[in-house]
Amino acid sequence: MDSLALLCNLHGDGPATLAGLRELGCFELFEVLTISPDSLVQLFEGNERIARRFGREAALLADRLGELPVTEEVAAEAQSFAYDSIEEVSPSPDIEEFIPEPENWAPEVLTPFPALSRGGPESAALLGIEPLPAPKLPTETPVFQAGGANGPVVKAVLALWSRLDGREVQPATPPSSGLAEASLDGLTEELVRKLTSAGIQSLGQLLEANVLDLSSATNIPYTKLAHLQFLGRKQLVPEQRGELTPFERPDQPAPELEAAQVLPPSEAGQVSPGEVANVPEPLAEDGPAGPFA
Amino acid sequence: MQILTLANQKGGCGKTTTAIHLAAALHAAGERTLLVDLDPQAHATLGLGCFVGRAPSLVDVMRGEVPALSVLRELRPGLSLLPATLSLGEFEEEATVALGTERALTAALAPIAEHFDYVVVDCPPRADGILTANAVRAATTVMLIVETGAFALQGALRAHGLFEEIIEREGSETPIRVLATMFDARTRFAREVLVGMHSRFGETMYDTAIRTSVKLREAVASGAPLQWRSPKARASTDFAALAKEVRQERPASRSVSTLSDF
Repeated sequence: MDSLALLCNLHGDGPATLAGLRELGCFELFEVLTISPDSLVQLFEGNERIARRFGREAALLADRLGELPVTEEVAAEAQSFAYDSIEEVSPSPDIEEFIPEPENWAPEVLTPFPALSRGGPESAALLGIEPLPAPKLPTETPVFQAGGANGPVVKAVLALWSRLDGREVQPATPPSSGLAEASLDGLTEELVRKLTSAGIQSLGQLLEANVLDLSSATNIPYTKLAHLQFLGRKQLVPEQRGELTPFERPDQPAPELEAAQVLPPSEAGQVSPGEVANVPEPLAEDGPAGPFA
Repeated sequence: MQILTLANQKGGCGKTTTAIHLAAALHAAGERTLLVDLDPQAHATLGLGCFVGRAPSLVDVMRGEVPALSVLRELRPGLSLLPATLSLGEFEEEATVALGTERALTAALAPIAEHFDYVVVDCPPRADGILTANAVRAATTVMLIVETGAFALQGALRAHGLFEEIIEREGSETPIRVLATMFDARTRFAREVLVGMHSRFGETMYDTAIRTSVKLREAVASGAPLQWRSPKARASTDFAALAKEVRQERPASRSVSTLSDF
């Protein structure tokens, strides 16, 4: 396995990426650094983020394998982008679908090996390769720099976090509302048309329908329909869902846990010294708390 | 005829799955392919939906009791199987009191050499047995299957040393190539193992690393290679790329011994 194949296996789509790179005339690892950003983005089917990461990882791998020295700038950039710890927890490739793009979004310039691109002819001469034309810089300043911390990007990210945490307040939708008004995420016009032709006119009808039957009738994937039902239920207000938490019921007081409920009856009020050791110390109310206490 | 021996000391590293799907990929590429199930557990045989029962199998061919052609199962035109049964395990014991058993597979394959372009041999999960020794001696390429998981590299190095020893004793120059399997690029651990394998084995590794796939497991369990059902699945494309590499790097043909030589 040559180092280019290793890179494609580690950070690309394996043989497909390797074949694509070879079609571009790239046969060595360091040659990835000379590919034009546009070609790299095209190789990854327009996904600029993956292309940028691939270029950066190429530089780091080249440095690790001793094929090319990497600058401190690139290393610092890679360290600041701690995607590794994230992707092991959540490897879902679909997460990008939720990121809303602000209207005046100006993408960051793709530089697979920034030091090389900025270094110009000197860097290229150092590598013994033909220098690339300088990348086109954006004419507008990126919004996240111009607008400071309150820019639209920050707002979009915060909205995404709220959404992923389930803290976003969804507007209540009555069950009788039409499918088009339900505004469920992923409910496209085509899906609405298919559902309508199958006799599903409202959100309530969608929620009551048998997913399996509906899937075979409309040719919409089962999982898609199940997901739409899930989203639809979330949009209904609690009364419409027919659910009430114990705290919302007027005739029932909020439950209080007592020692007798937590411990076995025989030991309630008689905690042995061994068990006391497992009980965390209560924090002083006004004292310092947290990791810096 | 090229003989690819898929082996490792370790079990569960994807030898059988790789053997089945590599054979199917070579067949899909237009090569006349034979899969030899040399594992007494007969998983490759079962994985291709075959059941032998009491009919003659590979062990009978290796004992010289029946010709290989009478045991072959044609799965599709151009793709055949030499099936195994549990009785193949007895061959290990018989080998301790018989002569020339370490070349039994070479002799068994010799009469059918002209019928196939590639023979893929699926070995049992031990590197020091007589069955694996047979496969290594018969091979034109030894393919060391290494899972990108814990302890994989350690076991692979030991198996690699054993194979080198057998090949050296044989006085041949059979190449040992390394194939990474069950690679999960999402985890840093697997990536580090792959980098470690690359550092250790370098150019002897195949460019293609077979990525982990639930579909592969399902396909083996269902008795048919994944390529037959989903030729465009990611795992199918991995094996197609591997088959392409194997075909591109076809080593110089090696003369195959005949039964009369022994």
